[in-house]
Amino acid sequence: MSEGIMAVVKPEMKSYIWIQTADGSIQQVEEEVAMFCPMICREILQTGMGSSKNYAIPLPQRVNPPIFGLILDYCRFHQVPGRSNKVCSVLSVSCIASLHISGEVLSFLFLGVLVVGGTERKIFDEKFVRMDTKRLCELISAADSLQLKPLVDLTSRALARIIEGKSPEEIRETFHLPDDLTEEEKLEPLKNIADDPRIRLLNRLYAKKRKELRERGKLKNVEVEEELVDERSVDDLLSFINGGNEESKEVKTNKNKKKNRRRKDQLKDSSSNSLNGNHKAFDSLTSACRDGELTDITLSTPSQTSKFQGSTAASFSPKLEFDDSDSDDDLDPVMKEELDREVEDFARRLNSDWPQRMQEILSLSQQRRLLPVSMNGNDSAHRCTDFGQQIILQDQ
Amino acid sequence: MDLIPDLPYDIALQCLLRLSYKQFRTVSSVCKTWNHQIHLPEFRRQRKAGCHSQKLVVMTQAKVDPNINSGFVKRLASPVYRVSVLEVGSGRWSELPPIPGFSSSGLPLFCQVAASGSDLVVIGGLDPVTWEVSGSVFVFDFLSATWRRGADMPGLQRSFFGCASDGDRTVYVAGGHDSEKNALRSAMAYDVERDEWAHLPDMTKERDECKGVFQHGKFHVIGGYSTNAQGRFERNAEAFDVEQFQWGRVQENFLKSATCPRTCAGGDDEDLFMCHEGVVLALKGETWQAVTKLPAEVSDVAYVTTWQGKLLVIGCARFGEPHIAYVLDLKSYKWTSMETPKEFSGHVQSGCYLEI
Repeated sequence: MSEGIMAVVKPEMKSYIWIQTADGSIQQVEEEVAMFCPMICREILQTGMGSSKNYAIPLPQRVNPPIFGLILDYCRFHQVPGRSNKVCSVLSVSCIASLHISGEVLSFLFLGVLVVGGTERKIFDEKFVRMDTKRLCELISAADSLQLKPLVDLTSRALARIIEGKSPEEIRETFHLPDDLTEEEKLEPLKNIADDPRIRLLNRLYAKKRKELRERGKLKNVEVEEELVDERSVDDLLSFINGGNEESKEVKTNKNKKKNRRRKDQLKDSSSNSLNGNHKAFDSLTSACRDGELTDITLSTPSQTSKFQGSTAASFSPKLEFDDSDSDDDLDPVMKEELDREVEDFARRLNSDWPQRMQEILSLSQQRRLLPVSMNGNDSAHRCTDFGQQIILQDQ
Repeated sequence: MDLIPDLPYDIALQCLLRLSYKQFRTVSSVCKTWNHQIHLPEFRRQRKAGCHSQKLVVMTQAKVDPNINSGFVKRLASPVYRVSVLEVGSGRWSELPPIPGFSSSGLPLFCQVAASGSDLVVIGGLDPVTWEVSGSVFVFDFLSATWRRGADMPGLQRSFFGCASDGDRTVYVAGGHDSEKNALRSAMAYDVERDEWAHLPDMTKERDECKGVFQHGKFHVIGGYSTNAQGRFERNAEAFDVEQFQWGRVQENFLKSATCPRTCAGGDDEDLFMCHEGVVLALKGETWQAVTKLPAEVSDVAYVTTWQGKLLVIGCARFGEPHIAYVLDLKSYKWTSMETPKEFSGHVQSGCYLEI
C-alpha cells in the first residue's frame, strides 16, 4: 500500500507544569522535562500540584533559579528517549587543563581527542559538568534535593576529578576546609612515576617523536633552524661572544654541570615547586624568543635543549626516557637535535597565549574537518583529566 | 561534622567514594574529617558496593630495564624485585614506592604477599643482598601509601612456605623448610591489625614448597614435598578450619597429578584453578576439569590469580622472554590479553588480589 501518507501534523499541544523557585518566582516548564525529576514527578502525582500558576510546585531551598536552569537543560537533553543507543564517532577538539601551578595560573595542554564509539549522552555530560567548583557544588546539592540520581552521580564524579588534580593545600582552599592536621599527619605527595597522566602523555609524545625521526632518517629543516630559540641569559651570550671557542666550551660544560645539579636539586622539591620551576623555564624560553636570534645558535642547541629536558625531567619523571645519558645513545646527535627542537617548539607553544593558541588550533581543526567545541574557559579555572586515545601532533 | 562545608554529608561522601585509590594519601592529608572518613571500614565497603573501588592485582615483579631493545630479557645474577600493581579495570600498570632502605636491592627474594583489608603484607623471603633467610614482615598501607615494618615471623627460619590471607585481618603461613632443608609441618597466623603472630597446630604432613589458598573459611595448604622426598611433589592437601581451629583430614589425590602447586589459585567467589600442561583446570567437587587452553604466549606460567568471574595468568612463551598478562572471563571462557609495558614484563614471583 502506499507509504506516502505524510505524518499528520498535529497541533503542538504541549503540557506545562508550574514551578516556583526558592526566590518566589514562578515559571512554566514542559511537562516531560519536569517529570524527569523524581521529586517533581512525585509532587504532581501525589498532590496534583503544578497544574496552574496558583498551585505551582515549590522547589526545595537548595535549588536556586540559575541552577534550576542548568538542571532543566540536563533533563531536557536526557529525557529524549533513544539517545543513548546512538553510537557515533566524533572527532572533537577538547581543551584539557593539565598543569596547575600555585595560585590560579593555568597552562593548557592542547590535545586533539579522537572519541570513537562515544555516546551522545556521554559527550553531553562531559561538557555539561565543565564549570567552576562552587557551581558544581550548588548543582550537586540541587540535584540531590530533586532526587535526580544520574545527575548526582555525574556531578560527584566531576567533583572527584577536581579533587584528584589537587594537592591537600589546594583542596583545603577550594572547599574551605580547616587545616587541622599536625605536621606529622600531613604526608608529602609521592612522585608516582608511571602514574601521572601528564607524564604518560609526555612520554608517549617523546617516544612517538623519536620513533618518527628514526624512521625518517636525517632531516635538516632549514626553516626550523632559523626559528631556533636561544634561551641563554644575556650574560651567557655575551661571554660566549667574547670568550671564543675554548671558553665557550667551558661555559657549556659548566652550564651542563649546573643544569645537572639543578636537575637533581629540582628532583628533591615537591611537585608543586618543580612545576613552578617548569613554569619559569617556559618563561625563559619565551623571553629568549623576544631577545632575538644569534647566528651561532646551532652549536648551542644540545645544551639549551638539555636545559629544557632538564627542567621537564625535574618536574615529571626523572627515571624514564628523559634521562639523556642513557636513552639517547643510539640516536644520531643530529636527530637528537631535531627531536629536541621539536620538543622545544612544543614547549613554546604550550606557553604561548591562550586565546591566540585556541585560534590557531581551531583554524587547524577546521582544516582537518574537526568539529570545534565551544569552550567554557573564560574566567573559570576548571579541569578535565580525561585523556583520549590518540594524540594528534600539530605539524607546522 | 561536615565533610564539605555547605554540602550535606551524604553528597560529599559520594564525591570521596568516587576517588581513585591513588588519592587516598592526598585525602588523608587534607583535614581531620577527611582522614577519619577514609579510614572507616564502611568507607571501603561503600566503595565496593557502589562499584567505585579499584580492582588491583598486586605482585612482586622483577625490574626490567626499559632501555634494553632486544626481546631477550637480561638475566641478572640476582634480579631486583619490586611491587607492581595492575589495575585490572583500566589495564593500567604502576609500581609501589620501594620499602625504605631497600630501594636499590629490592624486595626479599621469594617473599610472599597477601592482601589484608587495605594493607599489603610482604612476608619472609631471602635478603636480596646476603641471600640469608629473613622472617621480615613489611606492611604497605594503601590509605596512606606508606610502608611500615611488622613483627618478624617468630621461630625457626622458614622459607618457601605457603601463604594466604582471609582478606580481612589475618595472614596464614604453613610449611616451607628450615635452614637444614627440613620440610616443615608447622603453621602460623599473623594478625595484621594487632601486629602479632600466633602458632597454629601442626599439619599432618611436612610440606616444602606448598601453596596456600584461603577459601570458604578454610586455609588450604596444597601439595609440597617431605624432607625425604626432595622435589617429589605430592598430590595431597589439607585444610585448616579457622572456626574450629583445627586441621581437617588429609585429602589424598587432591591434585590431578604430582606437580608443583604454585599455579593454584582460588577464592571465595571462585573455584580452585590450576594451570597444567598448557591447560587451565578447575576443581569441580572432587575432580579437575579442563576449562580451556592457555594461550601459547603464556605457556610458561609465572603467576595465577582469580577474582569475581575472572582469572589472570602472567607468563611468558619461553624462559627469558618478556612476561605478559592474559585475563580469562570465566563465563565466556574467552581470553583477553592485557597490554604489558616493558617495565612491567619481568618475572612475577608472587601476588594477590586487592579491591580498594
